[in-house]
Amino acid sequence: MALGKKKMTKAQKIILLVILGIAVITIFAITAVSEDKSGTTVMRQGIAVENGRCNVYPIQNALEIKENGTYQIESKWWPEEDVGFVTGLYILGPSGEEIFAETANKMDSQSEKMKLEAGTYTIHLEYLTSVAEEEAFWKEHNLTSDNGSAFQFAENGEWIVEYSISFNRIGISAITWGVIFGFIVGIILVYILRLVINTGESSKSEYDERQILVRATGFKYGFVALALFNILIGMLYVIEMDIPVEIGVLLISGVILSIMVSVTYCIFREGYFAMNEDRKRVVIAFSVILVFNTISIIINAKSGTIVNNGKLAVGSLNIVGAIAMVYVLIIIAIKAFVDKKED
Amino acid sequence: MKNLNLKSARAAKDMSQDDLAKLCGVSRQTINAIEKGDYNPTIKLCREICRTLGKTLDELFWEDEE
Repeated sequence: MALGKKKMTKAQKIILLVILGIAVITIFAITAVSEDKSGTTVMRQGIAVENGRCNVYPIQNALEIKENGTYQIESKWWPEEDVGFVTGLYILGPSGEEIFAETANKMDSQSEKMKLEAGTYTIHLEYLTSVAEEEAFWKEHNLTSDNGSAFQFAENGEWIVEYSISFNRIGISAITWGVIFGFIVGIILVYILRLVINTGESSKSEYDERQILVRATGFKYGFVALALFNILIGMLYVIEMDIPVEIGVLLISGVILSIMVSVTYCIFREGYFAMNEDRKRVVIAFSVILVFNTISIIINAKSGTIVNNGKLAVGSLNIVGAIAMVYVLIIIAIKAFVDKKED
Repeated sequence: MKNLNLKSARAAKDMSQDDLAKLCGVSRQTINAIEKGDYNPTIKLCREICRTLGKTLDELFWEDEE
């Protein structure tokens, strides 16, 4: 006996999608919002050299790694003024074995990837004020140099240097997880909104023949707008104009711009709302999206992801989204006002 | 050019634009656009409107030369 396929009702679909959305958000919370596995230690040190001798004892600091994994050690000390000595850095693992050693006058680099066990690591800094001291450090820590020390050591001087040593866990970053899960939740949310907006059982929007023509023309204008936008951005890059916006943000903003052009045409030519769509529900849905965007803007502003290195970063896309939503709501209101006046 | 034939045929049946649109499976705005002469419907929709209003294509969509 063949089993009949029972179609899900709209309410069942919405419940299922809400559960799916909650599940995705929960996975995101467990994976991304969980404790950061990386660690950093910063040491600020005043160093004085008198008659070619340093008067500061070597310093050390501890850094704890909470989980086994692959890490890169990022070492950075880059004082603005030239310093007259070389810093010797070495790091010992939980059982006292040396895992990393380097000497440099100034440094901003990452080590090769290495597998590290959880535990406490000690970071040692020594201040080397002569060729002999530097070569002794190399010998002690099995470092090699092709040309020997070429650094000009100072006889006297005082400097303040800030040392930053980080253990960066290699893996998918919280931002990447955020983008992936945000995208999935966004798709689920849009599908739920479609089900809520449409008046019938179907989640598919239904348009009549005139509306299909209007939408085709709207898409054409949207395509032209995107092409012009891309040409403009391309030209700005050709003339090497510095645009204070990251390329990813520019590309997505161009897509949003083209959608806005298409939407504006469709709204004014009455091809935007499908026959089975409830306009009030559409306005409410857009308002909900606007609220979500506004919350995201606040979160991004607090976490500092809106601007990166003086350029609008991925966090600013919520601002673009919010502006687009406000724009669409204004266009819908203007169209409703015009229609009312004509009636 | 406005389609007054369609408007009067609809009014004679005491139908609103919305009523006719629902019976023909199109949006109210599309019926409004046809009546205002802003949109030329396909022959399929013309036949559907004629069938709903009990009129012929000539009566609703043929313009007199005079």
